[in-house]
Amino acid sequence: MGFMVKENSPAHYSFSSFGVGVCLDFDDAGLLDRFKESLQLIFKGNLSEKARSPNDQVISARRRDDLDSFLYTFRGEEFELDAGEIRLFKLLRTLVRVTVAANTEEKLFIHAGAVSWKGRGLILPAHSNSGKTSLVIELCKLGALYLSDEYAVLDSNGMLFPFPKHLSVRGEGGRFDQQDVDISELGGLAGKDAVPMQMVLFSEFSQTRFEWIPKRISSGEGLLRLIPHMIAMPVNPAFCLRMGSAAVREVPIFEAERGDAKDFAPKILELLEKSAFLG
Amino acid sequence: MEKTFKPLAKKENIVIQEAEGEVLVYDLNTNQAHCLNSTAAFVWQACDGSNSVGAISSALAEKSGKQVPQEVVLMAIEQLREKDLVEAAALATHGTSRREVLKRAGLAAMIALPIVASLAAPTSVMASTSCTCSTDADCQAQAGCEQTCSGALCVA
Repeated sequence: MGFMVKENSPAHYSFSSFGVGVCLDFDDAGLLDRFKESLQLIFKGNLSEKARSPNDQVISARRRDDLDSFLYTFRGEEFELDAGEIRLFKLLRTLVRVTVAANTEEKLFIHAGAVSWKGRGLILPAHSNSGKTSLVIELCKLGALYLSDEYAVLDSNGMLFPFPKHLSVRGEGGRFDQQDVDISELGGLAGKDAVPMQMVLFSEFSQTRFEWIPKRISSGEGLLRLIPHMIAMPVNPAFCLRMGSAAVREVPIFEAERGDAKDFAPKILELLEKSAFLG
Repeated sequence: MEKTFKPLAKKENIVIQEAEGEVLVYDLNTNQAHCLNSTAAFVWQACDGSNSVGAISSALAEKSGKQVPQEVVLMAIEQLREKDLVEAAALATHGTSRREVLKRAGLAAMIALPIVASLAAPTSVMASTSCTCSTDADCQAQAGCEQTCSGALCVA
């Protein structure tokens, strides 16, 4: 994944998160300082500054001469972003998150909503735009603690860790119409501690679904269906399968179509409580 | 044919993970992931090029304590061949259906029929991240995202 990094870069910042070394290489120290502040929002307590290393995953950004666009590099390729600083930072935060999630061997990052309920963890693996955030919000309004609306972070002991970035609440206009909102503004609370996994639920939104018919699936099928949501799968499939198998061992896995998040959130919590009695 | 046919499982460029009686198999060449239920997993693991279909059938019957017609083993091998998990060269294609096997052996006394479920694994770390991409197709596959991939991001 290496590419040439400028020598004597005007501003760089190297840090480690979940055991992954990342180097941000900017041509503007002010820009880098502002971005570093926004990084803390993502990696609270999971980011430590370190010396630069040749093994770091490098993400760089520089302003173009016209001042209205940026060039950035990711995974060895350079791209142009015709947008301002706010959008650049949003993009770079995503790239940093993906870089860490794809390269760590400390935890398994799964694209999923995650909450805890009475000290037990629930993850909702889902693709983008499947209503995952809406469901997480409704669960939190009912008292579940918010852990993440993007990544469920699991270890090999079946513990689920908070990764509470601000929720991305989507508007009518797609990605860039999203607003980043703190869960407390929506009437919820963020969980601060890791909790043991209690249930995995694959739940797709269906406009015509009014019944709630959850079906339990086997561990193997559940693990298979987790694969598309494992961020590191293209980089380290053996790690993903090993860690995934350990993380959800003996955890009940269900699938169910659902309708409106507000109507179905109570049913999901009810299922979560019942699942405590399942092996 | 069954007496001489000794299937050989493909084991190169494969990642294997057991999961509570089932086996996950990830093919690094095709980026396909497969879940083999316990019957399919047993057959696949027994396909070492030296065991005949009859021998695999007997071994499976002994392990499970249940009746295992050879058609069950052939059904597993056929599915494994379709997924490119056994060498295809020496395969006898019997086209045995589930219905035929059930009719012949009876459901109650028989082991679970083999099932191999599969899906394609993502080839890009960006694949499951909102509105990020490797190609325009990644953007177009995501509802609510802009349609053009510029670098790693879906843009207008």
